[in-house]
Amino acid sequence: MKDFHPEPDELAADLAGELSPEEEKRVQDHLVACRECSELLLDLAALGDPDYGADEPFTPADADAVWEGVRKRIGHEETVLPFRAPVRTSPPRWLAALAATLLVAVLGLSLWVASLRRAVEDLSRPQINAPVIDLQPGARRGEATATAEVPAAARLFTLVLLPERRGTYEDYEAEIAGADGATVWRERGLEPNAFGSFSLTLPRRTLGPGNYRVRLSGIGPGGRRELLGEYGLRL
Amino acid sequence: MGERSETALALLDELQAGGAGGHSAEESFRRLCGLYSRPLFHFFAKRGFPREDCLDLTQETFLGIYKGVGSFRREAGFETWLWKIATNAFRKRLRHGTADKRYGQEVSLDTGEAPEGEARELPAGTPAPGEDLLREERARLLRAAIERLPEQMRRCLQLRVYRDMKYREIAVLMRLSPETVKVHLFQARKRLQQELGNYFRELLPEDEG
Repeated sequence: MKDFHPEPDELAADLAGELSPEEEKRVQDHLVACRECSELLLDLAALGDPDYGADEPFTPADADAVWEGVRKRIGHEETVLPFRAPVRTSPPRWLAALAATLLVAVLGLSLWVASLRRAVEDLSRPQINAPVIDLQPGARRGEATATAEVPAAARLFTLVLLPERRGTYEDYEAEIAGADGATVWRERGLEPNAFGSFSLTLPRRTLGPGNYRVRLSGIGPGGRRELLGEYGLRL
Repeated sequence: MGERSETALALLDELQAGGAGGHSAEESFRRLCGLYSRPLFHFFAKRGFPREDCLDLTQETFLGIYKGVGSFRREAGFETWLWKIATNAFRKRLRHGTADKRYGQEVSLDTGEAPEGEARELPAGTPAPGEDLLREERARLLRAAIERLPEQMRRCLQLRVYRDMKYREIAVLMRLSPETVKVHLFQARKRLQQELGNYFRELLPEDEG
């Protein structure tokens, strides 16, 4: 019984009856043998008594001395700002900002992944009656352009590009530009079919509503590009 | 909860809020210190510290309160928290050896021997060595008989006989009512009297509460 003193937490828990039977037995046996701990515990029980310490020779000057000492020590305490709120410790601002950023990023990523999944699902399903739109060249000359009437339910539509002139090239390229001239899509590797035309199947979600220009080019030796046809398209 | 404890909690709230009711957090803390300066000073004084040390330890305890005010758990009770900080300050100071030796000494109830390193002194009018041996033998019998008592009864008797504690103090430590302590002590004496017979009166005088 001589080799340990329970921690104050354990002693207080014993007084409050919050220990397990084994812990309680150990602490109470210790209290029987240990004057220090038993008297400490009696003091805890007596601390709420207004008469506790009433007979102690303790003057108002002593109380002032205690306060002055405390005030001085707080002033020298480097870990706590004097009489600021060392209370309700909140996380540092940078941590809160990081958490908010991460939250936004995760939410954004989730939305993006969800939209990707929808797109993949859309493209994975077969589509019946997918519209096929023949585009005639002439937009470059200011002639009437083909208008693509894509049904609302269509997820895919196919453009058939009829070249204005024919020739043999190493490669063929299709490019779609918006009304402002900016390229929204471009791809090489097109091959002419048996009729000398080119086909291009697009998911509807690739292009939003609006007017577009479609250009078909042939790529010759040295990467030289020749325009084979330019088409107008409205979605 | 006592009135002082309630006031302390209200002042802690003010301190945490950075002041309230037209006065600053410093003023709230000053009032909190004022409430408990005397009890804390008494807590240290009764443990044998010199006056200056008592003032110093009281300040140290309040500093601990100030530093820990952000992590204070209200449900644990302010006075229990205060007591824990004071107890830690007391033990820390004790380790540095500035308290009087009159406090903090453990006495073994098992052997009745003097603390290590101290010679046992025979008081004036000490009986002859033969009588002393007899007395020690009787004391050994008494200790053995006490050890055989039921646990709670034994603890009550040991605190009463060896530590000369009052009923209400035993009741606090053992978390019993004073009446239950009385019953335990009465029954313990009865059992020991039956077991030890004539030795009993000499070794365990009548209890006067």
